[in-house]
Amino acid sequence: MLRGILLLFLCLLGGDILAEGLHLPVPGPVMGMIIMFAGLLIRGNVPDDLEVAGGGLLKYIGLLFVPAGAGISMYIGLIAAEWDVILVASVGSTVLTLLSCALLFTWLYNDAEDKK
Amino acid sequence: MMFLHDILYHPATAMIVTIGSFLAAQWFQKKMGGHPLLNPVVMAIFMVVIYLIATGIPYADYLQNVNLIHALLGPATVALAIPLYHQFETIKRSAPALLCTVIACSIIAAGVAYYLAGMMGAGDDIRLAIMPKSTTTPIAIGIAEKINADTSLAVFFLFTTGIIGTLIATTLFKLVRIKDDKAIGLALGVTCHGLGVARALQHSEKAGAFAALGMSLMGIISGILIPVAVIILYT
Repeated sequence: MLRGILLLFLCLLGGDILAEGLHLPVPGPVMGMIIMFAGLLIRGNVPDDLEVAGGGLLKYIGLLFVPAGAGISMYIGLIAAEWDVILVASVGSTVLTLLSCALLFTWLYNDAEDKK
Repeated sequence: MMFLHDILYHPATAMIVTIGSFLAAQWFQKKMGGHPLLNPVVMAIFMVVIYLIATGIPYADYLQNVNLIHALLGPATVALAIPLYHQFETIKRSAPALLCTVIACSIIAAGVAYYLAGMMGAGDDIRLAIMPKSTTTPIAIGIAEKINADTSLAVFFLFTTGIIGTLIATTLFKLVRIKDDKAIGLALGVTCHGLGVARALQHSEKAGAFAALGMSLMGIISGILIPVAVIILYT
């Protein structure tokens, strides 16, 4: 467990340093995820300690969103004033993304399978 | 009366309200048969917002008191490498189709939202914050920080997207006759991040696996593409 937590924070630190130091347009935690993914590929399995620590974090990942999400309390006024913008942009892009993703993947995947 | 005031404004109360709201919301959704409208994260957020408005506690003070929870978002993002690794065999098999789809959707999700918001007359504060709307929360916060957008507003748009998407997905897929669990799962994960993964898992295990994959890839690809797109748009 503790070694897993240590690994997660080491990758987070490494990711932050790499993203900041090299001025990469990638958030530090995302870079940390890539570093950990590469490490797992090289190692060939997930260490038990990491599985326990990472699995525990991911199990309650919903709770971790709550403090950040509660920040909308500062935007009640903005939401009341711009609800039409929020509604059109949110619904429009969500419908388009869902449809294009499902259709594009089906088309590309079946096309690749047909050629086999 | 003084006693009640002390309890409401005690730093520990912020932790109790946050964790308590989440557990209560989780319990309530389970009790109501797992209805997607009763998303525990969204309900917990609304409960905390009510607590903050009722007590008048500034958001910055609240965030400081629950930093123990908030600070775990970073390592949680790193931990997403674990499910990604578990599904590596599945990734390899459909890799070309998957990668092309997620790259296209990363541009569509952020681009359409950016231009629709602009079309409706929104300013840069909203247009930038809405861009990471289809990425998973820790990644969206990272992207928002990178492009100087408001992280809370970005999280607000992300949850709006997650709720709307999980509610309309089933109807949409029926309309265009998509029945493949891989495509349904991928679309849910790519568009609606964690909420989409939960919804896809109700569908089937295969859909759930592809949703988790779609969410992870969408996060990584958007984490790279959105900051680059913003640099291009604003220079």
